[in-house]
Order: sequence, then C-alpha cells, then structure tokens
Amino acid sequence: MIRDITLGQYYKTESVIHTLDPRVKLMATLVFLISLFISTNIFAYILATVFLLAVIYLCNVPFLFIIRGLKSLLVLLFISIIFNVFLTPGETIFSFGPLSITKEGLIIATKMAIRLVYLVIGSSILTLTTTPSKLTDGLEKGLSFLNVFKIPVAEIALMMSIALRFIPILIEEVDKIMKAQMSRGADFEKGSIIEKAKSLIPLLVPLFVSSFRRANDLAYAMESRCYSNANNRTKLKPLKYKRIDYITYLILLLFIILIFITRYIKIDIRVF
Amino acid sequence: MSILEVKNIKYKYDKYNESSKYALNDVSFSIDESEFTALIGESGSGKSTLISHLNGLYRADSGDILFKGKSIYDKDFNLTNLRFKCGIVFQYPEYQLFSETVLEDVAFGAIKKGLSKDEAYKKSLEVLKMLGIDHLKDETPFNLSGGEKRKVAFAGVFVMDPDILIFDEPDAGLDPVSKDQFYKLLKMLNQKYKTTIIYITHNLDDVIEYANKVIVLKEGTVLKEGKPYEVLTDKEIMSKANLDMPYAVEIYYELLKLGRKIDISKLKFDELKETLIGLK
Amino acid sequence: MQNILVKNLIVDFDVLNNDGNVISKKRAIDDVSLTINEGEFVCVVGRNGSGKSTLAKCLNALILPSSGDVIINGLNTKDENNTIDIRRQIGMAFQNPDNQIVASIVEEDIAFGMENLGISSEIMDERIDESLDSLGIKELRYSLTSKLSGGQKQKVSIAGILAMKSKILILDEPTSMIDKNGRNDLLDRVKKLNKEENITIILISHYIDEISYADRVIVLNNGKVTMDDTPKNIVLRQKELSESGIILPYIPRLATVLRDNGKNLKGNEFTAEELCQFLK
Repeated sequence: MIRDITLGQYYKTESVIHTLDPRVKLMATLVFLISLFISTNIFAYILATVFLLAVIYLCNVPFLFIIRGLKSLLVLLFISIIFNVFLTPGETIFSFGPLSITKEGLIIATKMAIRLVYLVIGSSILTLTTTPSKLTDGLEKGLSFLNVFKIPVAEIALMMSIALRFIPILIEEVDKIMKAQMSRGADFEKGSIIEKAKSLIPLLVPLFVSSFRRANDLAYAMESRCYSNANNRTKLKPLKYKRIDYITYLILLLFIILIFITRYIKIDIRVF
Repeated sequence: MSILEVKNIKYKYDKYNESSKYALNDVSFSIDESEFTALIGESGSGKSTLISHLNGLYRADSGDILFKGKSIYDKDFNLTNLRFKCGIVFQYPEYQLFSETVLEDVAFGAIKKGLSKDEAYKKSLEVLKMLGIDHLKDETPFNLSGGEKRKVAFAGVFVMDPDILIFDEPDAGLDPVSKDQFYKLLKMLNQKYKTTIIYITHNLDDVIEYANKVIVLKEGTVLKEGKPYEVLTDKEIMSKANLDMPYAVEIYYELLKLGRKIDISKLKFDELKETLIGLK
Repeated sequence: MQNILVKNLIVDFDVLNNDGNVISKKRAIDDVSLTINEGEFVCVVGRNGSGKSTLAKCLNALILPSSGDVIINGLNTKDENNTIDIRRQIGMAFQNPDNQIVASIVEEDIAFGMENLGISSEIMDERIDESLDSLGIKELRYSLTSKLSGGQKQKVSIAGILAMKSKILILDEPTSMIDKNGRNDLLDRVKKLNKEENITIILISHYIDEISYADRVIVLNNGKVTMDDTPKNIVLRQKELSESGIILPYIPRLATVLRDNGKNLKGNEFTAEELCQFLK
C-alpha cells in the first residue's frame, strides 16, 4: 500500500538521462510542466506525449515502476474527473436527474487527467533518474543567484537532500508502525472521516517521536563529521556541463518552440 | 495438537517485477500448543515477513495458514479477532507507544477488543503488576528507559489475552541483565499459562537455553526445523544458513575433537556445566 | 604520547517537567578521570543508562563538561575554537546505522566529512577508495545507501571517518542493530584498523562478549568508572562486575563455575578451545 509511493526514490541504472546534468533535468521538468499548461490543442498533447515517451524509453527505468507512483494519485484523479465531467456547464450529452454530462466537461476532464498523469510521470522520472544529492546540487547551483537576497540556498539544498534521503526510511517506518498498531486491533480503514482521523493518532504520534529522534541523531552525526557551515564546503563532484547537456538544452528549446507553434494551428476539435 | 499450521506460503514484495525474488518461498511448518519456538536466520532471510503473515497483516500470494484448524484466508474468518489471538510484539517499542500514560497505552488493545474502559484499565493494571512495572502506570511512556518501554509494549499486546505470543527480536538493545529477566518471564508464561511463543532472535545461546523448537530460514525457505540441539549442532545447515554456532555447540565439538562425546541433548548452561564437572 | 585526557569530568542533565521548566539535575557522568593513549583499543561497558554514550559524546565535544576537562591531543573541548579540530581527530560512529548516513550514494556519504573540511575533489576521490578498501567494501562505492545491510552501513560510516584521516575512532554501540555475523565481521575489521593503521579505538558496547576484542576494558556504572583493567583480568573480578550490572560472557562464566568446582582453569578463558584445556 504505502510502499507504492515512488516520489523521491532513485532508481539505479545506466542511461543517457541518468548522466545528464541535474540542472538540465530540472530545466527539462520545468519546461515540460509549462508545456502541459500552455497546451491548448491535440497537437500539443501529441508532442508532449512523444517527448515523454522518448524520455521514458531513454531512461531505462521499467515502465511499470514509473507509473507505480500514479496509484497513490488515483483518488485525486477520480475526484477531479467527476467534478469536471458533471459540473462544467455547456452542451449536454447525457443527463439523469439534476446531473448532466457536458461535452465541454468531458474535454476538460480529459485534459485535466492527462495533465495530472503527465505531471506525476514527468516529475517521477526526474527523481528516479537523479540522486537526491545531485538534485539538490542542481538546485543549489541553479538558484545560487538567490544568495544575493540573503537566502541560504546551500543550507536549504542540504536540508532538501536529507529530507529526500529519509523519505524511503519514513515510508518503511509508517509501514512498521501500522503493522504494530494493527496487531493491537487498530483499524485505519473503517469508520467515518472523523473516526478515521482519530485512528491516525496511534500512527502519527510514534512517527513524530521517532522522526524527532532521528533528527537529533542525525544532527549529532553531522556535527561530529565537522559540519558547521554549508557555504564553505567543497564538492565531491562539482557540476560541469558536458556536450550532451548543451544538446539537451537545444532539444528543450526546440520543444517549447514547437509547443508554442501548436497554439497557432487552428483546428476544429470536433474532428477528433 | 497444532495451533498454527503454515502450508506452502509464498510471498513477494515487488509484485510488479516478474524477476524479483520471493521473500517467502514455499514455507511450511506447524506449531503445537504451548511450544516455545525460535525463528532464526541471517538478516533478510524472511523471518520478519513470515511473522507478519501469522496474524494476517500480510496476505500470502499462495499457500494457506491454519489457525486452530481453520484457514485464516476463508471468507468468513475473522481477521481482527485473529490479531487478538496471535499477539505480535514488534522490535521497536517506540513504534507502538502513543498515549499520554502507560496505563492508557496498554489498555488500547483491550478496548479495541471490546472490553469496557473500566474493565480494560483493570486488566491492564493486572498485566503491569505481573510485569512488575505497575508503579509506572501514570508516567508518560516516552520518558521510560528502553527496557521499560519494551515491557509496556509487551503489556499492550499481552492485555489482549493472546493464545500465541510472537516477538520480533525481543532482546535487541537490551542489556544482559534485562535480557535475562525478559526470557525468564517468557519461560514462566510458557510453563505456567501454556502460552505458545514464537520469537525471532540472533542470540543462539539463548535459543538453547529457552526454546524447545527452532526453525531455520534462509532466503525465504525453511532449511530445517527441530529441537534446538538437533538443529544448532547440524554443521551443514548452520553454515548453509550463514549462522555462527552458539558457544555451547562450539564446546560440544571441541570436546568431540578431544575424544570426549557428551550427551548432545544436554547443552543448556546448567546441564553442560554438570556434564563438564563430571568429566575427568 | 597521550591522546585523550579526561580530568574530573562531571556532566549534569536538566530534568524538565511537563511545562519545560528545570525541576532537577540528573548526574550522567560523575567525576570521571582517565587517559587513553594512542593505539589503544578500549572497550567501555555498562548497563543501559550507565553514562557510556554520554562519555563518548564528551570526547568529541558534542556534549561539554558541566565541570572538569576533556583534552584531546592538548586541545580542550571547552574552547569553541577547538571544536572542528577535535572532531577532525576523533571520528564517531553511532548506534543506529540509518540515522547517521547523510547521502543516498555511498561515495557521497563518505565525502560528506571531507566536503565539510574543504578538501579538493581529486583528493576526496583517492581517499574514498582508500578508506573503502581498508574496510573491505571497495565494491560498494556506487551503491545506494538505503539498500545496504546494517553492518555495511556501519562500515560506510567508519570509512567516512577514516577518509577524514581521524586517528581516533569512537564506536557508540555500533553492533546493537546488526546480526551476529555482521557484528563479528565489523569488529574484526575494526581490530585490523587498530593493529595495522594504529587507529585508537574506543568501543562502547553492551554486548559483554565484545570485550574480547579490546586491550583494555572500562566499566561504567551510574556515571562512575568502577573498573579499568584488561579483558583477561576483568572477567576474574566477577563480583565487582555483577555489582555494576554486568553478566560475564558465556565461556568465562562457564570457566569460572568449572574453576570453582576444582577444574584446572583460570576462569578468564574466552574460547571453547581454551576452556577445554582442562581435560588435557
């Protein structure tokens, strides 16, 4: 159940995508997300699909593993589809009682669903192919201009990388706590919403207690390894752009231009 | 009569991946009433996964588990009820404690089982007394020492009146004195109340001392089961399972090397001591 | 040459009530004085709550004395300007292997300490290989830290310390969360570091069996040093040990009983082979 969350997990294998500079991958994810939200017609979606499929193919992570993260999203997806399908005003296709399904509703629901799914897959690929420390290195370097505004980018980046590292550990921990409490008759599924919320207390309290202990232990461990100030640190692998990174930037530029062009392709949606 | 029968269960975590390994691969064994069973094997051999099946927390991909002769996978089998009858105490007591007072925490399972609040508190207090920690009843569980926390966690399971008590490494992190106390308590429960006990451990000398049955796991399969002295003296099995022999067994073989054959079924500390004193 | 000098060390912790006010002081370390020399392998034992972990944390300035001094190679931990220097010389590995690993990839974690010291990436690259090699885990360099066993995680932590060129290694109950094989394997490696690279080792442990790895054993009880002797001698002082809440390891315990029954044994034998000598 809880083990299905793939966000923040790194999948170790070799691929072009894995070797890309994290800054490039961050930029690519950003560009991809923007492209999803400015896509207006079917061509843009086809383009985004091709782009996504190409990346999935290149990244060498099993397809089933990538889409595993979607499972935890199903409820959200379902709710958004229901809302859009029934509550969008427009040309009615089918109706029963006060509820009616409209054509506009169907179109919007489909768009929303595609966006949501692509968004999750896109960002999953980022974390699956980039180790947390590379990811935060990328953020640190990419956002280093914020230092001007006295924002401690290096510290924030380190915090993030540690947070990401602990995600799998916390997931496992939630699993263990649930098991321990279920063995004492706790039930996390039955009951009304209020009962459900109440039943989470036996889960959350131990999780907090243990997280604080972990944080405390980790602080000791980091201090005893001479951590004092994130700014004066050197890096094992300083980020450096390679040829492939520049090529990828070019591809991204091309992609976003194409997406913009599709906005000007006039097409009657009813054809499809 | 066997209280628990495990029949050919298979289980894998990564169900999406065809080539992934089974965490449990065709495991079968049975546990008789009031047996004291140790589950041993190196890390990753499937011990923890296995005990999570025994009260239905995990559902086997195939195979069956019978509790008192009835399949726990039957549609009309009451799984919640099984959790009360098959009490599992997990390794870290911290994963279980959440209430403001010890008494409240211990009563949780009893209340879930359907006792009224008063009954549950009364019963919890009895259990705390039996464990000799009733003076802690109004403390918050988070300020206790490691050994005390463990006792509270144990009380929280014991209060449900389980027929079988299952422990995941009950001795990890305990100092030798607390550990000894703990095992003596288990032995008492086992002998006096006929409680069936199954526990995971790495400490094989204690297995000889306390258990009357051992199951060795390796990569999700049962390598051997039997009396502690039969299993732990089996050099081939032990090396296959990647386990070091307990000291008592080392001494047994050392004596054998010197041409002295002692009674293999008498390897408990006191028995071994008597035997050695008798040797000229 | 002196490495570590502890003079009349006292550490008090505040005891807080539920509102966060200090209601009393609890003495964790009570007037401890000792010196530890370069190249020694010292094992510090004591029951839970005896103050062993607190003492360890005092040595690398994670906890500062309430009174008294801790001086590492001439540097007093009280002076904040010395902190980084002291921590560079004394590395510390902790009990829970998960809570001390910072990075997701082994080499990145080993680099963490060196990055903090501002070491260049070329030198780091070399030292990572060196330190992994001296723990026999060169092949793990690019592995995911989350996929390692407990024993491997501890080795990675120690490698991270060696890479900083620390000459003193404090291990705070490093084996309490790993199984027996992993435990022996880890301590064999640590022993090798001590013998071959002359690294001073301070092993905090509650597994009394582990004292056999050390040259010197310090016993703590209620924050005081109650015994300070070689392993061979310390196990002969059984009465004092039990006053400090320590039970003898299996074989010395058996040897002592046999000796008291008139067998030709000293009572400080540690292996089955030594124990069986009395038959010859």
